[in-house]
Amino acid sequence: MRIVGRNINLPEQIKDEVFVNHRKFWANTPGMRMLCGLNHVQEPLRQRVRDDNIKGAYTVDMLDVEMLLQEYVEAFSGRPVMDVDTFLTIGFASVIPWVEAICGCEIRALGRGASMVAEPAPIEQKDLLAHMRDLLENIEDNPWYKKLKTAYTGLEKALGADYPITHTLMRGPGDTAGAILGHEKFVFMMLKPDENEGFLHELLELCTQVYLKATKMQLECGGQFHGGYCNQYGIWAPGLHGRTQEDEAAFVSPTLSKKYLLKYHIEEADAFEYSVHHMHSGYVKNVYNWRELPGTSKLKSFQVQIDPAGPSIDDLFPTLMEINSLLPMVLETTTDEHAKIVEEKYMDKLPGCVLHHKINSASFLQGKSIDK
Amino acid sequence: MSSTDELTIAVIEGNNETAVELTKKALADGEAAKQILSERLLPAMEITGERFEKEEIWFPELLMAANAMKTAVDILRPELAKSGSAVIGKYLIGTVDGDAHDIGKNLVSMFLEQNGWEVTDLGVDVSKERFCEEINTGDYDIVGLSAMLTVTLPEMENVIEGLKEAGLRNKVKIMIGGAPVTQAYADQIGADAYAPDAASATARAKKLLG
Repeated sequence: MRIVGRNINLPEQIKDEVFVNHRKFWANTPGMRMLCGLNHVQEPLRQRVRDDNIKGAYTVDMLDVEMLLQEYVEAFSGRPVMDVDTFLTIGFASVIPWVEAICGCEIRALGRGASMVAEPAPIEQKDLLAHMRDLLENIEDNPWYKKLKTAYTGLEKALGADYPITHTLMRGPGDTAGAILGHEKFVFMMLKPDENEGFLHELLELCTQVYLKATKMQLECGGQFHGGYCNQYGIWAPGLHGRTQEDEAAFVSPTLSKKYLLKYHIEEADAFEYSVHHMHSGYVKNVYNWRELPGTSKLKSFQVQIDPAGPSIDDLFPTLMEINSLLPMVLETTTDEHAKIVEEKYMDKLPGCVLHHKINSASFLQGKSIDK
Repeated sequence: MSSTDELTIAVIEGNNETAVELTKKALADGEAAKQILSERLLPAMEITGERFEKEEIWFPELLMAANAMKTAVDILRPELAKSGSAVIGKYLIGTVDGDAHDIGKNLVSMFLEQNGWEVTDLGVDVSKERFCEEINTGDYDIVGLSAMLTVTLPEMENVIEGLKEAGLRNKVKIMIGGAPVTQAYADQIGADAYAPDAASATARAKKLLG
């Protein structure tokens, strides 16, 4: 793996303190508290989708990497490299469902929703595995993959001297398989193992491999930062990081999740020295097999996003305690009310190290960046 | 709550083929469509809803049961119409502008239909103008707005404001739901009701009609 490698000029006192603290995060140092999210930068493509009300099919030809890179430079230049206790990191166009797009899904932009969704791949089920195998063998020729690589090479050149570059949002194997097949079809297929088990496992494995290849490519092009890498939450680690997720698990029982999905989460977590597994509060309490990850994989951290209409934080608290007793936790709040409850009532009671990723709900809802 | 009725069990188990076969057989044996619906099919959804709440079954099983129920009700529909079975009300539903999530909305539609509502589904990514146009020309009792994304929540308020501007707000009641939606948000934007899930949506819709 080629490593570009950059060391950003940081004031000496910040440098020492930050790297020491980030090592303490990974060690799940009891009682340690960190904060980030106050130096939020609205992603240029997401903002463009919203402001220009871009709707309908979004094809790879519509993605103008050069123009977006220029917009990244404009959006980030002059910003402080620190976001309270963590680094301000740059990932490229997380609004695009990259893994799904690379795998052949059709992408649809949602205008004012400031988002994009993946729609089922227009590929016959009988041809799907052959398509995925061919994709993996020739992934460098895939048009979405090529643009992502161009973007990361460009990001490193344009901003890598000033900010750490991180991989973009990459969804999990079940999320991707669900997008390719259609989510309802995917979960129904899991319920008929006699007919579908072999097919689904092969598809999930191929989705996992696409995730791993595309994620590692971004980290390679984005380059090292002070001898390591920073993840999406700005935490530095002295090794490769990966952010993994599996929101599709919310659709199925723990039994089905274990039977079909867990194996691939372990495979993804084991591919990195420092991985974070993303979850939502809406399903973390009852549904998900997250408890099996720490003991069976190299997973290093959990991230829990508090959903605005999910279970109350009072209800969630025992689960959060359990998570944090096992691994360091990134706790993300997206409303001011939840941020206040977390800070005032619960933060001091959590046993391990907690990074509060506090998203300003007003700016988030309005799709705005916080002023430089 | 449990059942030993074969048709009820077929729906609970999401067994489409058996549900169709037994519904046709019941009609052929002279059982009234209304009786099949109220005594054999609706209890299936009540039991399914209870099991889902108790976490005895999960989302796929719930969806499969709802599908089986819909298939069976489709067979009964012509007979129900002949017997003059009253429709509870007319319900217009859609996911708001900028949002393409439809699993929750589809489930709410199915539950409403199975409980006697006539449902018109405008689909996903529905603009304020499209809602207004349909409400203006249609004869709806309730409009259901769905959103999955935090960033599309304001579109719910936009629709309500659009209805006010068009003089249509008092023509319909408005219910909202979706992952980021709360009762507090419903109160804030002036919606008439909020439903946290598909099962409660039917009860709240009925209550709204008074």
